[in-house]
Amino acid sequence: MSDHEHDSHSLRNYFWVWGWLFVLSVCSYVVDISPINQMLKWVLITVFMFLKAGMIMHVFMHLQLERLSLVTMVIVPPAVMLFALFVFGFEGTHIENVRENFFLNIEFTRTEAG
Amino acid sequence: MAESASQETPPPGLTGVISDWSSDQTTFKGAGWGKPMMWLFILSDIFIFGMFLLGYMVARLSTPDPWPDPAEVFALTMFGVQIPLLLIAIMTFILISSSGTMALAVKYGYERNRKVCGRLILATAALGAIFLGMQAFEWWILISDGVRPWGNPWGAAQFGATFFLITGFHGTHVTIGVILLLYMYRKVMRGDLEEGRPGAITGRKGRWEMVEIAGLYWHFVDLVWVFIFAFFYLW
Repeated sequence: MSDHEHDSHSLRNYFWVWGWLFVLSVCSYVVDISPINQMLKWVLITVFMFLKAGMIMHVFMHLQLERLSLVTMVIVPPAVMLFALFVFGFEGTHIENVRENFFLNIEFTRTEAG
Repeated sequence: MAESASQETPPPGLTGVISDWSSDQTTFKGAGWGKPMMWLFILSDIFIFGMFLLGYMVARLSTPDPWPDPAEVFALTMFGVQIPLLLIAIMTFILISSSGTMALAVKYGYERNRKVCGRLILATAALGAIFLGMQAFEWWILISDGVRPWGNPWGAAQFGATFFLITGFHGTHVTIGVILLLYMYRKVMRGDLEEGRPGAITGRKGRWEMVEIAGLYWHFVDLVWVFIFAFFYLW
């Protein structure tokens, strides 16, 4: 345990993560301004985002040194929120359709009625 | 019997999770109380920001109006050239750097290197303050462009509401973090953590773990920015 702790507190480790955070940020910026396919863009940006978040939590916030009880307490509840992401995703698209189909032409119906 | 059980090193892995939670004792073995409490606070804050980002997603999905393109909205004109997202990119690098200096401060804190730890904390606070200044500048640009919580010149009215809410809430967290770090800098440099001197607000004795707990909060602020940067500015 103490050996492992010493290893993960080494300067090299922190600078390595620091450097990668820079590289991944540059990558996501380059992806954003490059003229590639929009879907691929979103996928890449999300992948880079999760890599950065993982490195910050694993190394900078020392989750690699904590017991699994604490790690699961931190990771599992936000992961459950991903379910809400899908639910709200469907809902948002549905509301947009409703607005497109029934509300954007409201002036038209009004003039017809009056 | 009970004594020998508490002295055993708890098992690792998933068996450890079950035995920790069912031990009828402190759940988070060997973590003190300060660190788990900060993690619980961070967890609750993750929910707040998570819900903000989900709300932003619903607002953006459900509006039939076109969403303003962040690459154009946040572009800066430098030397006659329009560079997209320049200010945001610089802000991102500053916040990442502050996270790096904070990680090093925690490292030197554990090595009981008072001077280096204190200076790194001060550097972190300074970078945080620069970030805040740039965010104020960004708000100023947007407000002069006519962005309001109820509308903007480019498209969907929800853009302004979500922008001011999310970045404003994050900026508040950075502000609190900078104040916390300046307070911690004073404690470290004065030697409060070595002497166990009682704090001015809670009266609790100074411990070196405090630097790590302040660090957890600061890294969390950076973590939130990673998500805001991706979802709000890049998507």
